[in-house]
Amino acid sequence: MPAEPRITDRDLELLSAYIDGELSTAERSELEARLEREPQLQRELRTLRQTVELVRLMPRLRAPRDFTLTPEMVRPPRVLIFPATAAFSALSAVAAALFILVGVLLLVQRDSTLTGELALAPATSEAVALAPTLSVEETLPVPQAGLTALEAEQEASGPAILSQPEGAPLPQATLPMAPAAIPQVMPGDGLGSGGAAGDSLAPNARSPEMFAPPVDSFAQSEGMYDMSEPRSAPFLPTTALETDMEVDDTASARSAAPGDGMADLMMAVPAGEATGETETAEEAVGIMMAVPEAEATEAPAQVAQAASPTATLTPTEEPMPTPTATPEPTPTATPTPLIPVSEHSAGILGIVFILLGIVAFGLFALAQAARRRRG
Amino acid sequence: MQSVYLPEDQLHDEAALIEVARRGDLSAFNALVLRYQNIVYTVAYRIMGDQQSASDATQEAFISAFRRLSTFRGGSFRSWLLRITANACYDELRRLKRRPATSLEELPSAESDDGPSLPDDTDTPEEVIEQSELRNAIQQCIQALGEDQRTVMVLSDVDGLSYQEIADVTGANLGTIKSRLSRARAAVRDCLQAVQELLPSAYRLMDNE
Repeated sequence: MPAEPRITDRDLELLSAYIDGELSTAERSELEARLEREPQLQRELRTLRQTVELVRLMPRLRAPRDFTLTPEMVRPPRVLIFPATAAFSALSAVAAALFILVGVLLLVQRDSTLTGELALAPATSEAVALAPTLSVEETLPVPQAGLTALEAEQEASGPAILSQPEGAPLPQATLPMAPAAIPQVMPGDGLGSGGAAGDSLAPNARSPEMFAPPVDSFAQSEGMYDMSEPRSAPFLPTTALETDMEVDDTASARSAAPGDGMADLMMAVPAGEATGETETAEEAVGIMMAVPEAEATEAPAQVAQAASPTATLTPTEEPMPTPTATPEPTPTATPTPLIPVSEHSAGILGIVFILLGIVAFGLFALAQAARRRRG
Repeated sequence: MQSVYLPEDQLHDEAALIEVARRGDLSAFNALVLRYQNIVYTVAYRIMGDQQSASDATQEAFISAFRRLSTFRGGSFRSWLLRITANACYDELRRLKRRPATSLEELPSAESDDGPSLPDDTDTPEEVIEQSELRNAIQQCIQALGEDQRTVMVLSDVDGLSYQEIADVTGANLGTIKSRLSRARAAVRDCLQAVQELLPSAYRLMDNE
């Protein structure tokens, strides 16, 4: 009975398709002609047909139970178990992109601060002295330039966008900003003790190689002292602190300027700009703050407190200039520690954000997989 | 259509039910479930070979159908639903493969009997093969097929899907479908011929006459 010797697989396919009416006209004519003269082929066709008939006539089964759906069956899987919705996929993808973007920005900022800090370090000691005197003068101009500087900085610094809201009011900004700036500056500050203030100020500056917060705070504090006591470097104290805080690049440049090689950098940067920068620095700080605030506002605040007891002073970045003239400025410099803290925060925040981004991406991947599973 | 509650006469209108269900109305969709669950379950059972797996696949098929209802572009709701059912069975088979806890060997021959599932009274044509022995023999012969051949044969000869629809479901091309189907039919025929001596002569249709 089994397939006749003469029946090939090809014949089987033809017969099967013939049963289903799936042959082309030509194929059908040819097959029918063969069926006329090949009894074996006929038998093959008949048995196949019977088989198909038997299968087709198989009784429909009765469902062992009702398969009606409950709201839990339809919704929980999506929301509770896993949201396999297009909306969730899109959301998680966007979240991942944003987190990683912000994280990278924070890290980049930190790096820039670091570089700036390095430059500042040498200059700081020397420049610091000068700072006090200059600081007074500069401080005055700063306000004016500050406004423009603020704007410029905001534009210049990508992060500025975030800070803008806070950056506006200088006095206000000073307090909040100082803490914020601190976290970011922290790392880089350690290197440039003299520039510490500046470094601290340059919250924007991102130093991947950031040092331990404590170190930074020390460096900054020291630098501050140096500056105020040994030499009256108006620029450095006031500007350095403020400018650094404000803009990464500018901050570094300024801080450098006070210093040896740094001076060149400083030179490069217009004085007016520097002053403006100082203010901008505040804004920048504000910016920095803003960033942390969004995610980890607490971090900056804590850092400021813990890292720099003096940090309390930090709030008054502007006051700094005035104090700079006197030994007291040094204390004011204390804010610097705060700045370092902020740099630290920036680094940590950057990493945290990137991790969050990775988590978000993981959710995205899971959502995609879930969607694929459900077709 | 605006209201969740349809006039009695419209409740019998499949298109209306689909339209309402498409808007997320679960009760409307459940009316469709009750209408098609025997068909879906039967197909699932023929492919899966045992009641538990068939039930799981059936439930998944309806859940999936409800979620994808927006992709239904008209035409035969039955074919659309059976396509989803076949996919659900594929998923279930894959899942079982990944977790041999239910051991694959059980699937083909575990239940030689259609089990608790009884012939649906409303579909009398099948009464032609009332003989439970013959039914069981056919089911066993289908289960003896490889997964690919079995699925194609069930979709074609149990579901009545066209070659193109089967290709859409399985992702195989038409040539492969034709080939698998012809070999599946020949294999089932040979299988039945081997056991038909156990069957009443009335069912010895396979012999060359």
